[in-house]
Amino acid sequence: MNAKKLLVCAGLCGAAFVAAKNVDFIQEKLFNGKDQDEFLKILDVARVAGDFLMWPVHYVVALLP
Amino acid sequence: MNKVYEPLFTPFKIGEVEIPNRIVQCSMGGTTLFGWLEPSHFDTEAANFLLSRAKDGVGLVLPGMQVIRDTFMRKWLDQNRHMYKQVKPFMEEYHKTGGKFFIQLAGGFGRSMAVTPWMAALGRNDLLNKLASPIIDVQYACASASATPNRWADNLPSRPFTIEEIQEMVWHFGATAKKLREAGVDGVEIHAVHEGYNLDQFAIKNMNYRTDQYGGSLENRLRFATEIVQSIHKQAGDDFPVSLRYSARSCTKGWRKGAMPYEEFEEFGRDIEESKQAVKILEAAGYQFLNTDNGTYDAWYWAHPPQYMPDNCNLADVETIKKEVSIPVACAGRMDPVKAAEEIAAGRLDAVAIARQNLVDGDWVSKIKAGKEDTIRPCIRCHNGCFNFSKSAGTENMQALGDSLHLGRCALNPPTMQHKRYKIVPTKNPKKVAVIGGGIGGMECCLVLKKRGHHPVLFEKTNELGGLFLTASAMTFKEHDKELIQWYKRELKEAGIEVRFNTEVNDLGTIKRGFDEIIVATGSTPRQMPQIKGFERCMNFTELLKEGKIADKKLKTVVFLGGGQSSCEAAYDMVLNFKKNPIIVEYGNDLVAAQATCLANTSFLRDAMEYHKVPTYLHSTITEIGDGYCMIKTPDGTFRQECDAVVNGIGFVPQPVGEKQPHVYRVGDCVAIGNLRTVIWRAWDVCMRI
Repeated sequence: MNAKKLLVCAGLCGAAFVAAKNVDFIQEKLFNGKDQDEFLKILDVARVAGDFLMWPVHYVVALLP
Repeated sequence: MNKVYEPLFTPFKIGEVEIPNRIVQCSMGGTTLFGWLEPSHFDTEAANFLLSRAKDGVGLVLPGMQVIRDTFMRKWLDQNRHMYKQVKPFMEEYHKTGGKFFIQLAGGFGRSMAVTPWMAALGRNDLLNKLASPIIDVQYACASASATPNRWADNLPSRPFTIEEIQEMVWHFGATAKKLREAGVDGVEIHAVHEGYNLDQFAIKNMNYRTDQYGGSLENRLRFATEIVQSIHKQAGDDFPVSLRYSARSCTKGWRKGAMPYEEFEEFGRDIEESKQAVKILEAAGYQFLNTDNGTYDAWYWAHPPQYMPDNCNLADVETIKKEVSIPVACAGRMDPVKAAEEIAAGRLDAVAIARQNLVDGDWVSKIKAGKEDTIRPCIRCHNGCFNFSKSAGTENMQALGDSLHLGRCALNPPTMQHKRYKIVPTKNPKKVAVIGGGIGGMECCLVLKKRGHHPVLFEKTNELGGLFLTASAMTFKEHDKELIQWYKRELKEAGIEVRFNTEVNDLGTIKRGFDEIIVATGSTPRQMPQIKGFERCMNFTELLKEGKIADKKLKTVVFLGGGQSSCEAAYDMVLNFKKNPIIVEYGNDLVAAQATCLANTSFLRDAMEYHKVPTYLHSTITEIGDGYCMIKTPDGTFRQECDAVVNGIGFVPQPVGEKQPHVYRVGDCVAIGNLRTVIWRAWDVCMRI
């Protein structure tokens, strides 16, 4: 798989992650389609993962002039 | 507005800065403008919350404590230039409200650092600590005045700060204050000669064994704090107001040992006589406001008073301190606004510092101004959402990772500090929803559904609302919990929600046809242990507390099977108010050994049981319950204990109705036994998505 395809995949995954975390409509569909407990647990893990993903972003932004 | 509150709405000055009223929002960890624990950045969630407080009418808002050097990635706060560019427009927006904003800058945690197991492991190993130090230096984060034991982890003594490290930090306080002033911030508060944080560890004789200029005499022990304010005035200007977070007394008997509010004891920390001298030194150095309460991490329930502490618990000591200084003084700690207004009018106090109430009800100040104080949702001091650092014997900080990253939330009010995650979005498809169970979970569901535009109907099998919370709130000292139930009843009535009392639903099929969705919030039932001979003789908490058997004169000696929060609270009520003789039998190695229950709450209960000499048997159980006795099995053997009752304190099990199926949702303890936070947040999680 070449770098371009990898980048596109990463971008799509990232977009899906952000959408699932933030878009109410998508959450509602996922919630009603899956076991509620399972969905809410996955959402909690996704949130914590998202928090940690932001740490290097904060660090880099802090270096901006 | 009720006239009694009027003194709260008069201005006062800190230095030359006029604060529009006497209401101060104390710093709360997590409500930190520049991030909590993570690399510093402008935190939009916190900014949204803090601005909302100013819009509600709080005169002076202090965001959560901001360590002067990031715990992770270790940049100094003044090195993040980009962040201050975001502060400027925020402060312009903030100042439109008329309120003032001071940022609390912290000199670190020292031995109070709430280390988790992995942090403790790093801190104990010099090589690992050094390897990790570009990201986190646990030994530095825990560094203190002297080599003193960590409050949380065994065998993790703090190393002493070097003089160079102290002076480096002092310089950065000044540099940061300068940047904040340039960005429009009104002042700073220094954290803290208070609560046993780092600067307080320098100030307390029993925690500071230094022989250099930062140890020995009281002046020396306060030198770190005094050099900070001098550095700030030198770099940011001597007209830039500097407040100090201060504890009048430590209320501490020893390492990890606090004193009860009514106890006579020898002070291990700072006593009131030394405090009277200390505040004069601090004022002379340049501090212009003392934001004051009591306590240390060893006596945490003074600084974060749970339900068991009396209202206004720090007031007398704070007013004693006020007499020694000419600068304004605020009092924090379960402050009743009516009492605060009275003290301010009398000149005995200058401001009231309130923290947690700002999380629970974002309109509490407006409601007071509008004469609607009876509609304020009360804070019950549970600490489940805002501050649930927990510890029991032999553990470090047991807090869940998600909670460590996000303090300053609220068990009762999910949108606080989570306004993107929890929000009311009107529905485009209103539905008729049956909610089964009139406890907290069921009531919260109804309110959220109604706000969204759905039509909830609440089914309650008894003739009153409140569910198990009626039992949990029955103890004498839980007046705010009782207020919470009244608040829910009022809100349901105001919202016009139909409640069908005395209607038990055991079969979902009987109501399915009339409703589009069903929410099951049927709570839990006491766990049973039939393998204990005579277990059926046990009394449950509802019989003891809600039905009032606790007041029965025939009930003198009561054995609690299980040393959890409910047992310890009931035992405390028994000794304090009913002159009974409780005995606690606990299977584990400590009382209230539960994650998610704050150490401020649990340490009070443990210290109270010790102070009141409540016989407590750990690593123990009951093997038989007879008529007027029980057999207690301890590591030293089994013995017969005469008693009038045995209370089932071994917990609860979920009691859902019906099977999992489409259009049926479960909320609260019928999913998994939790606390008010799990109940209420789950109610929102479900009801936002129906």
